[in-house]
Amino acid sequence: MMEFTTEKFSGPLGLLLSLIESEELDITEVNLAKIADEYVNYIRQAANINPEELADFLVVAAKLLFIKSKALLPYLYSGEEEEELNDLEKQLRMYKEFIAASQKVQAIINQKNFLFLPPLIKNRRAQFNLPVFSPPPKLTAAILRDKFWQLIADLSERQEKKLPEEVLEPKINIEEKILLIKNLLIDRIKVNFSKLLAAAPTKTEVIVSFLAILELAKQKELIFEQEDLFSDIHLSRLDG
Amino acid sequence: MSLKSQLESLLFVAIKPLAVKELADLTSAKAKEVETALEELNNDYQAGERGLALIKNNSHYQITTAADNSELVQDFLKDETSSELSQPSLEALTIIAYRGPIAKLELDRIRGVNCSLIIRNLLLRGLIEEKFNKSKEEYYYTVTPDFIRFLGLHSVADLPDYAQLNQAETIEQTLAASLNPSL
Repeated sequence: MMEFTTEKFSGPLGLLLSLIESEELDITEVNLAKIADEYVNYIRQAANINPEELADFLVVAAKLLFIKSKALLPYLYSGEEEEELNDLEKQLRMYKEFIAASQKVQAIINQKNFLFLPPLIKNRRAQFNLPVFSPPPKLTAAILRDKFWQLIADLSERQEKKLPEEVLEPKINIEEKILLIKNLLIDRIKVNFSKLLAAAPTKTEVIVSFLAILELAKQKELIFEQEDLFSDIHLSRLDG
Repeated sequence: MSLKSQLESLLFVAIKPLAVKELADLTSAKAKEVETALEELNNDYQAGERGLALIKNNSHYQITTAADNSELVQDFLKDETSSELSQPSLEALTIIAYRGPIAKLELDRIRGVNCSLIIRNLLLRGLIEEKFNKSKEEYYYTVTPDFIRFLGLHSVADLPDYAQLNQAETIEQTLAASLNPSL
């Protein structure tokens, strides 16, 4: 895999643009299809993506994978999607234009040609309807002190109400499950699927186990057999 | 006195940006006449050896010190240079400057990422301002006169390639033109 230095890129399009430019490619649909895997790999590893922005990175990843799938299996697409695919291309080109513009803006800022205004003096502020500090005439330090204590009392009262607690179920990762099943199959030639399920405490985990087995079968790591309908499923290792 | 000189006096004491309409009311002139006179004043400032400049933003005008004297005035006012803009902020600010008034959704679309936090930050720094568009039920963003002063320009139209980047259609046309040779 190509080493991509995590220089500064700002946002999903910034990342895509850096990838395309580091490969010295033009922004075309064909090149976007080429870069799709690299983009996905990058966001999978990247630790420096702001979690709040992750969804936006995934949107771009999904668009790229769509473009790639269309490049690989063109007969599956009717042409209606054409517009949507062009969109990412257009969006990226426009973004590139603005990146170039932002560098020019930065250069202008660096010239430090600031234009100044006469500084405002206090009594002139009122003339321009700007906020002026005008405390009520009867305000005293003692009142402020009392109000402040009152405020603190209110706050501490409110703080005592604890937020409801909820226990999150332990998360099961399909990759971990796959590893577990692989390890089981190293020791034994055959494993009974129902035994594997018996160890699963929640419904989610049953589903994840099942998905893990399907994935392993797809990757040609194992085969499963079932003699009769609803009988036990046996998993066995497939040695390539 | 000429309209141009009246306007110069008003803007000099006002300090804050004044709208063309306000200036027209004050001088009992037509808005169009005010604009012409102010463009003349701007030409005087830019051509002559003057210590003042005129900036224009969203049909508001303001008199400031001239860009050439920036360092001198800054020293005198002991004004602190503002802190650097982050890359994402700079990008968003550039897009707002070239495309303003621009809705948040459009900004998000160009950057491909949600820009709420950046917008908030730029608002706090006084570089952009928001206005609610009632018919579209959306906030629109433009740069402030402070942004123009920060860059030392007369108006956003002075930004490099402004005409090209300001119009959506033009961008696509320009891009199409620059792509065709490679086909």
